[in-house]
This record gives sequence, C-alpha cells and structure tokens, in this order.
Amino acid sequence: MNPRTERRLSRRMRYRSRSVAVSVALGVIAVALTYIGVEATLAALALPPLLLSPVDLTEALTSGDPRALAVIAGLVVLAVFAIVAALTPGGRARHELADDRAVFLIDDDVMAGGISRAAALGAGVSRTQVTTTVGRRRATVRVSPSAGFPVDAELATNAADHAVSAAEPLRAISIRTAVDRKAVLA
Amino acid sequence: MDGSAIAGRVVITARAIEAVLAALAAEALGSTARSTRVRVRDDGGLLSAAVRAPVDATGHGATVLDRVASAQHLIRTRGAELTGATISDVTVRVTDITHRNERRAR
Amino acid sequence: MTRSNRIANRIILMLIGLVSLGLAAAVALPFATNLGVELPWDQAELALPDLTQPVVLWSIVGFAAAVLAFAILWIVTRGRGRTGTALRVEGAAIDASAVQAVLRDRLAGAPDVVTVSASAHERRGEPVVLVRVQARSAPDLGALRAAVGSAVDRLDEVVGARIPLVVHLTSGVRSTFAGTKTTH
Repeated sequence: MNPRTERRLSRRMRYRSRSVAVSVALGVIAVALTYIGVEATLAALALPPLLLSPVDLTEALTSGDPRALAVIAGLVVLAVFAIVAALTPGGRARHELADDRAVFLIDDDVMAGGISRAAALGAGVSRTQVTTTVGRRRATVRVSPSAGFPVDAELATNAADHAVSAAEPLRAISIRTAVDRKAVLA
Repeated sequence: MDGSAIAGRVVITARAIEAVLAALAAEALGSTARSTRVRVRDDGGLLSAAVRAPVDATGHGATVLDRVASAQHLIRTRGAELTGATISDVTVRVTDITHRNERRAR
Repeated sequence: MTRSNRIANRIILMLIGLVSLGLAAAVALPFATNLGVELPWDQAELALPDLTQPVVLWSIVGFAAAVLAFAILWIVTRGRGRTGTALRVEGAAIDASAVQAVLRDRLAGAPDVVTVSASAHERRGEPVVLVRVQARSAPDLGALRAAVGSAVDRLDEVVGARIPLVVHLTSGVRSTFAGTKTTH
C-alpha cells in the first residue's frame, strides 16, 4: 500500500464522509415525494385522495392552517440537519497510531480507558477513581483520591504518558492530571 | 492408462478429474480432501481448474502462497499425468488458514 | 470514497438544507402576515398552476418520480465495495476469512482482546483488509499494541505476502454521535 493510499484510508477512517447523512436526507425526501406523487396520481385519476388532494394540500399550506406548522417544523429540522452535516468537519473520535506496516487506528474511548488504567496504577488508586477525557491533542485525567492518601499528580501523568507513548500515536498527546479536592472513602 | 487393447471407449468424467485434482491439492495445501473442492471447466478445449480449499499453516517455512504455488504445480504436472488431461490454468482460492498440527507453547 | 465524493456529499446536503429552508419560509409566509410582519413584497397570491388539471398533476407525478428515482439510486449505490477477497495474485486468491482465522488464532490468548474480525474492501482495484480488534474497556495500551503488531507480523509470515491492512482498535460500541472529546 503506497503512502498516498495510506493517507487516504486514514482520512476516510478518521472523518465521516457524510454518505449516511445524504442517504438519510434523501430518504426523508423520498418519503415526502412518494406521498405527494400518490396524492397527485389519485387526483389525476379522479380517485379519492389518501389524506388530502393536491388542491386541498396547497390550500392548507397557504392559508395559515395550523397543521402547516408541522410541515414547517419538519422542513426546518431537515434543513438544520442537512446544513449542520454539510458544514461541520465530522471528525470521528479516533487517533491514528504510527506504524509502517498498516494504517493503525484506535478509538478514543479505548485510549481513554487505557490512560485511566495507567494513571490509576501510577497514582495508586483503583481504576474506578480515574476518568480520562481524550481530545485531539490533549488528554485530561481526573483522579478522585482515596481519603487519607494524597495523590501525586505527577506520578499519574508520568504513567499516563508512558501508556500513550507505548501506543505510539502519530500526533503527540499531552497529558494533564487534575486531582479532585473531594476524596472518596475506598 | 493404455486402453487401446480393449474394445470400447474410456471416458474420464469431469467429476473423476475433479476428485483426483482435489486429492492432489489437499496434499499440497495440507487440507483434508473433504474440505477441498475443485471445479473444472472448458478453457478453449483445455481444462481449467478452480480450487477452493483451506490451507494449513503449520509447515515450517512454507508460506500459504508457497503451498498454493506447489498445489498449482502439482496439479499441472501430476494431475495432468494422472488424468491425461491438458490443463491450461489452475486458480486457487484460500478459504481458511488452519493450524491443525500446531502444539501451542504458552 | 474519494475526495470529490466527500465534497459532493456536502454540496448535496447544503442544497437540500437551503431548499428545505426556502420551502419552510414559503409555507410560513401566511403565518408571518397574520402576525403582522412586514414583507418586502406585495403578498399577492402565489401563481400556482391549477391543480385540478390532469396535465399539471401528471407533471407533478413525473417530477416526484424522477427525484424519487434519483434518491433511491443514490442510496442503493452506496456500495461499500465489500468483497470477500483479501489478496489477489496471479492464479491465487486469499479470502478475508482466512486472514481473520490467522489473526484470531494469534490474538486468542492476548490480554484485553475481546474479538477480532476481518473484512475486505475493494479500493482502487486492490483489496484492503479492515481488521477490527475489539478491546476491553481499559486495556494495557502498550501490551495491546504489541500483541496486535506481532499478530500482523505472524500473518505476513504465514501468508508470504503483505496484505494491505487497516487495523482499528475499538471498544465495540458503535458510537454514531461521539464528539471530539471522549471520556472513559
């Protein structure tokens, strides 16, 4: 696999292509158009309408009928969904790991869990007393110390750093440890 | 297979050829004859063989692709010999990779 | 998925969004006038065609059918290019299931590995294998990475060729709405 293909695959895995969003939007549109098509066909064949004939539909939509509010709401929801999907980058919570054999990715929640585990060991607390939040370039470790046993944040940070370097992320992640003032009774 | 002394024709069915080739392939790939399937078809008058089988990976140094190559070679040479057919090409599809003979050191 | 596909998707979404917004505004017009909102143009009756005429109705059906056909076609052609073949060389093909078997075997005793699966995807003529390794929730990162790395090395050894791979370490929870910050 040449480097360009690797970069492309990596990007594909780390960002949403918005393919699903388009399918969803088109699906909604398809449902609406099916309904309109059915009503128009029934009217053209001089058959009774399913719910409202095209004439009645436009009447309801232009006369301030309260039911039109539902239509407006639906359209606005679709519009917001589509525009947000179009404009936001859509990055997935994943990090790429350095590897010359393959494109290597890790979900952020796995990495966060691994960091928590290492930090807990380093700080001498149980795993349940540590929470880690992983962002693009930074990870924040929160430790709830056991009452009576102060926690050295530096030990936790060092342990977490070790764990992260062992994973070898492509872009360095800096660790910050915050120790809660409130302790837990183990 | 010289049947010229006896009156009548000797016809080797495609099924028979497939069975022979399957046995050869299984030997080369380290799979069981049962799990190895061969389908032959006409390739402009010659015989083209398509093999589908798992490959055993416990042979030291023998990679899967090595074993595939030796299976192809075996079929082309011994297989042609045994069946009398002229074989044009042999394609192999590896459906699984097994470790049947491995004793795990833990 | 090519770069232009990604951009095209966003353009389509933008168009859909703007058109929906426009339609919402159009339907909201009568309410605006009722609320006494000043409109820049004369609130004349929209010149809608006579909706009792069959010609008009059938052209609506035609338009709806055309757009519907496009929508369905688009959705259906979202083939992910998923194949079963992991590697193709002259005369030989290796299935993704074979790759999965080797990796599963190698990672069977690995700490923190729950399950391993491999699927092949066609990318520009060459198949790429996506290996999904489900890891336990708080793994030993170094050990996990090393175990997966050695499993891939073993795969290369066994197969006798380097199959293009994308290895994905996941927790198994398919998160559709995960933001940029993840907490565990």
